[in-house]
Amino acid sequence: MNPNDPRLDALQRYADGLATREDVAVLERAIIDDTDFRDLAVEYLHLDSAMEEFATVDDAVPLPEGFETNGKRRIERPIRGLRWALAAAASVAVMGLTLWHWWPVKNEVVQVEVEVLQLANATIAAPQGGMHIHDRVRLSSLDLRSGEARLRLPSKVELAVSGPAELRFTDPMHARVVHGKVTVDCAAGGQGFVLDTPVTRVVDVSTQFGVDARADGTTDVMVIKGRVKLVNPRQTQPAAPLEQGEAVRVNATQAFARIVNITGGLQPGEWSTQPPPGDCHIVSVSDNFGATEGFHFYRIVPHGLRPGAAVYTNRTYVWRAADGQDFPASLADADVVQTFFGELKRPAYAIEVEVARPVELFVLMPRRGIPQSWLTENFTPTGEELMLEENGTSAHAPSHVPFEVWKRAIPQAGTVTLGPGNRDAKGGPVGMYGIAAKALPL
Amino acid sequence: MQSKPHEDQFLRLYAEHEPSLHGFVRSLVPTRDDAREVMQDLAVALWRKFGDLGDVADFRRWAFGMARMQVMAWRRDRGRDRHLFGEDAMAIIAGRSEEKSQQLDAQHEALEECLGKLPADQRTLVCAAYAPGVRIDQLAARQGRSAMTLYKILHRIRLALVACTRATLAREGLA
Repeated sequence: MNPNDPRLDALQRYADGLATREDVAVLERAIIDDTDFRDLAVEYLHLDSAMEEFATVDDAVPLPEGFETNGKRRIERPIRGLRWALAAAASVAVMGLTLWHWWPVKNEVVQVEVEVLQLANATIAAPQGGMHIHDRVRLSSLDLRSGEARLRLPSKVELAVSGPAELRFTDPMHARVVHGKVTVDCAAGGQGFVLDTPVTRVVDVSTQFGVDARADGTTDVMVIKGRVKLVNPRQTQPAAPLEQGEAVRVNATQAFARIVNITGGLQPGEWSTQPPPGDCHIVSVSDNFGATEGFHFYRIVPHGLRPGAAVYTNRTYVWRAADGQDFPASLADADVVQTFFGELKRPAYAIEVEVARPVELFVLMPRRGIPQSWLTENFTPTGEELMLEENGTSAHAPSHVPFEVWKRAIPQAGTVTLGPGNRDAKGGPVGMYGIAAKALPL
Repeated sequence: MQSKPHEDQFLRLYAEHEPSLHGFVRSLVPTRDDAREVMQDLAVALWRKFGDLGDVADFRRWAFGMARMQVMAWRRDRGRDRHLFGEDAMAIIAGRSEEKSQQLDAQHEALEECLGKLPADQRTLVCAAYAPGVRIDQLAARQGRSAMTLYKILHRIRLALVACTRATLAREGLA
């Protein structure tokens, strides 16, 4: 390998996405004609791929100057500006900058035909004539004082608006939340839908997401399915991606803070960044995952454990009964935590569950692998079993991953620390567990 | 008798071969973002077709074939992009990647050790530069360097790592 070989410069530019037409031509000739260079190019590009796996932004690796994290605790720490710096992939940049160019032009408010799909206890200040289910009305804005309205735009984008909320329409693919909570479903169409808030712009990629433009000027964004891109409205900066199961609070200075807990429900608009209701036994969940984990959230669903309930916030698996068995009565309607698939290779991650009162705390652990001491020493297997399956799999599909139910009596309100999931013989992770709680039997 | 393929098997097999597949795809597309995009589609395609796989022992060969098709489909969508290799060059790279797949797996193993041998400042730089979504120009600006300088530094580190992994494999009789 001659480090002065000019073809290596072309290879570098190709690997970094900077290659010119001439670079590509030079590389093509070299790859076809020179077996040694071909091997080097293959190894170089494979290595480039593998480096992503080894790269990390973690406490174990000092960050370069300018990437300080203020020494704050990982949970809910503001990552001021870091996300913008870290999230700017080149392909995303193109889209972000493109959007920027047309945004000022399209920021006017126009009337858009809206189909009213559902109204629940809705008090509507605008439009002045109100709305009725199945109406098709032309709206430039919606002022919903209370209740919920579910609307479909001509782009097939569905909006669940939770009052109090105010919305302005720019076109069928573009709206602005002045304040309040909106859940957007682009599953039936409308990829690329844009939702502006006072501090950020959310661009759909293929997704279902929620936005809450809060009274304090911040905006909460959470992704239920797929992915969105957040665009900084103040500068021509590229977009920051937010993946399924991630949630952030954005403020006016573009600082991102991880939202660790989402309180959930079964309907589209039933999500909140507020604490769970008082009758929920689980108050909060937190962890010590590092910055490499991004902005994953735990979703606490009061009384939500049942067949078909989601297992993870960033996967589509659902719980169901084991083959030939009923869903365990001891778990039915328990308060449940949707966890997430994250950096499970970390040797000693910890999850803290705060409970409001004496409870039976359940850990739903994959049956495979070796249970860790925090589990075997503090929890007892109940002998019950659940299955995890892909959402939408037919009833005749084969069984999937079996999970064992472990339980522990927690005699008083407080915090319980859980450890890593089961490990295989080499110490590698075998999956992520679920968490549930029910009142401790008297 | 071969048990019916199911998700548990799929996840295990995919996790085992994902780094190799990613490296393979990366060698066929121009940027890391492109590779990620293809890998997302590939994962879905593999899962959808997994039931058609007769013997899970053939997973690796089958997955590499699927990866090649996925890259071809991705290329078709960008047929006029001047920054892509022609089909001849791509076929040669794909063939060579498959021939060298075991050696490339070994390279992957050796890389961790070689990264550990880098001077601390270089290791820190690599970690920052390859962190998800990082922009080299912003990283360079924060370090008071030009983006081109940083690209060149990273290039030299990559070449050093290739040399290191080759030496490691040679010592182990794998090169």
